[in-house]
Amino acid sequence: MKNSIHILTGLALVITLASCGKTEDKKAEGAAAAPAAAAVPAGDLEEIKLEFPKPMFIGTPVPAELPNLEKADPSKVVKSFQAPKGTVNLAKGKKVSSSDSAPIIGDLTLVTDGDADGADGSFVELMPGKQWVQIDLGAPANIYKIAMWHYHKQAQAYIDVLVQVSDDAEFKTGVTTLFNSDHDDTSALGKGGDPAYVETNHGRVIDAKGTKARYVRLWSNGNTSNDMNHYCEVQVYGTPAK
Amino acid sequence: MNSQPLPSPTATAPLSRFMDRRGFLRTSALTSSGLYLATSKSAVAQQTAPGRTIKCALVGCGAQGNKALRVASKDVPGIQWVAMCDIWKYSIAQARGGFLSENKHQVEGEIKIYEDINEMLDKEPSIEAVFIATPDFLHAPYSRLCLEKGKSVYCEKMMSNTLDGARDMVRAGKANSGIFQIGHQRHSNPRYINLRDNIIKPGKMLGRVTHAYAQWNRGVSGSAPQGAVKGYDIPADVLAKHGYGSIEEFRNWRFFSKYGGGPLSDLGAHQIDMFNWMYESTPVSVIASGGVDYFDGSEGRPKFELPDNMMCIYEFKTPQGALRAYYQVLTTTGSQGAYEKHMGVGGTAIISELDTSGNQLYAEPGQAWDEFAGGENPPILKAADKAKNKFWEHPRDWEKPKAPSYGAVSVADVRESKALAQWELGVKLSRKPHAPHVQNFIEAVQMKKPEHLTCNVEAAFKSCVTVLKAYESIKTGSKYIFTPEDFQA
Repeated sequence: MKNSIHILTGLALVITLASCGKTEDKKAEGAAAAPAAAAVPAGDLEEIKLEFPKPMFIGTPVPAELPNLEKADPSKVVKSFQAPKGTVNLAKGKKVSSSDSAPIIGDLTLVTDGDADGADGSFVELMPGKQWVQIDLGAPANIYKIAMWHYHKQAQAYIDVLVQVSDDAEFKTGVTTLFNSDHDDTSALGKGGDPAYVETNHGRVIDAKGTKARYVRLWSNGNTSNDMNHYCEVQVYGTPAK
Repeated sequence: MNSQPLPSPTATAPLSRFMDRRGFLRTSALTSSGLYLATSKSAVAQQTAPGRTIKCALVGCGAQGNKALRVASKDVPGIQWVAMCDIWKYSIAQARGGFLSENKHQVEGEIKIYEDINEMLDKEPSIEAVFIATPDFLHAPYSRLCLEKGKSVYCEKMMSNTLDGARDMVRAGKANSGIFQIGHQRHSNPRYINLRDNIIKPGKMLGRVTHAYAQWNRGVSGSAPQGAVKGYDIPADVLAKHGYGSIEEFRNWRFFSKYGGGPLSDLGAHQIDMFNWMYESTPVSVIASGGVDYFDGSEGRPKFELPDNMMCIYEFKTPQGALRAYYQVLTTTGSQGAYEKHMGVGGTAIISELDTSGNQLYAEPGQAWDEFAGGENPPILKAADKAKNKFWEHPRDWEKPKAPSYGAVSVADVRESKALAQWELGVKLSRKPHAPHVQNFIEAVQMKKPEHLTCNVEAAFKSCVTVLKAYESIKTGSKYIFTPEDFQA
């Protein structure tokens, strides 16, 4: 899938994205604070439209029962967003590592191949339980949005989803958590107040608030259908840090 | 169809992709160590202790093997999965994930992976039971192969894509001592058993049943052709070695007579089998109509061989009188989904494997069904006043009809029937629909009691004949009259 970037010429709207990422020590002593988020430069912004894969629900949906499951609201689907000029999907084609170095299905390159399709052959399946994938952007970047698609061929919700960024490849220091649906700290990474949600072809767009980081790590701990972890695509929208 | 076991390849190795990953496959050190009894007809196969562990293998890890049988087996006691076999690495990968997660309690250490069934049986003599969920054309040779090696077999339906194949399976079952179950899982489903024994049987609630109706309308989206999967190509020589002409034929085998029996066999077999099973009978005739109405190669669609839409009318002669049963399978619409309906002079029963798709009973006027809804485990329950009137549509509240104008003349000048009282089945199934049938098989293996089976090979053969002879009717363009010999293997 290729994302279309539409520049809205003549757009005079200036939006300043505040920096309010939550920095954590992640249970490591001497953890340094994450770099301050870069201020969004004033001036023209670009509208970035996400290109969605086709919806693929098949079979009988398994009822998703999680205490923090949000009620689906199609009106809240993020289909496009404003970002500073020059913002692109920095994750495209970038190296992906994982807590599961030998995935059950597919391979880790599928996470950043630009294809969010939910068809067979387009997703990676990781071992059961708590697992992560990590994208190395290659250099520090100001990250504005992260779009992620877990497996969306079935109506299911992923459990204990966390999205973190850091300049430390080991995620021991300077970790900023941008999204956390682990309401009871099962993952021992801290409780989170974000809702669990049922996957669709629209995925989920997370506000990264311009946080400066080189690495993006995404966690999950199975889903409401089974214990496995899946990713169709992760896109990280940002600009190279100056 | 070749009913002989496929020859064992000279140098086929288990899937090397997994050999060096997590150590998922042991080397053959164990198999050369002689630490186990080197015969499949060993003492373990002769044990008859109820509840003992049965070492099982899954052959064919696709939609049916992996997503139906493996998933359904997870809450069946007494199963230990030791090996799986498939020629497609994608199916293997999917099943492996399931065995690592949902079924991990049924796997000790590792599950062995094979591409070739002969090699699997040679190297894994501890296997006592084999679940066969391959394309239909392999059911007969694989069942015979396993039975002759002293294994018990659970084979998916249809028994075979040919009657010769099905007959061979009956003969193989008779000639060998292994337990041999065919996967018509409704036979073990307590909801269906309740319907048959307490509601349909002569003298029970429906009275004389004169008509039955069943359908499986799946729609184009559920019937979409399958293709290659990125990253999981099957080499042409592997496809050829296992009898497939192309990846397209391999993925869509159900639509080609060389491999399968079309949607009538794939979907209809379960429901047409219910006509035979519910009324403990076989039909006297069938007239069928159907064809390749949609997947005909036009407008960019693939060209399939077997009919994608079919309608059949079967006639039965039961001790109570004639019974006519209509069946349709449509792949061009999902309208009203899948269900079966049994209509008698005393009432009507609608059932489906999912009770959300079919779970209604209607009493004809004058029937006193309240007596059946009392006590412990009643066969029926009074339906709630607010029920889903049209279960195939979006759920919506249904208000009880107003008092009928019984005896009055309607606008159409037709006398109306009184609205029927609505009930529902009193027996629920909270497990996967295949689970009771898998459990029935495992229990029979544990006890070495073929009589414990709910769907042995002889019973399934009659259903296979009932289904496949519908194609004779289409071929000749006339009603097919069954003979007693048709149902003799």
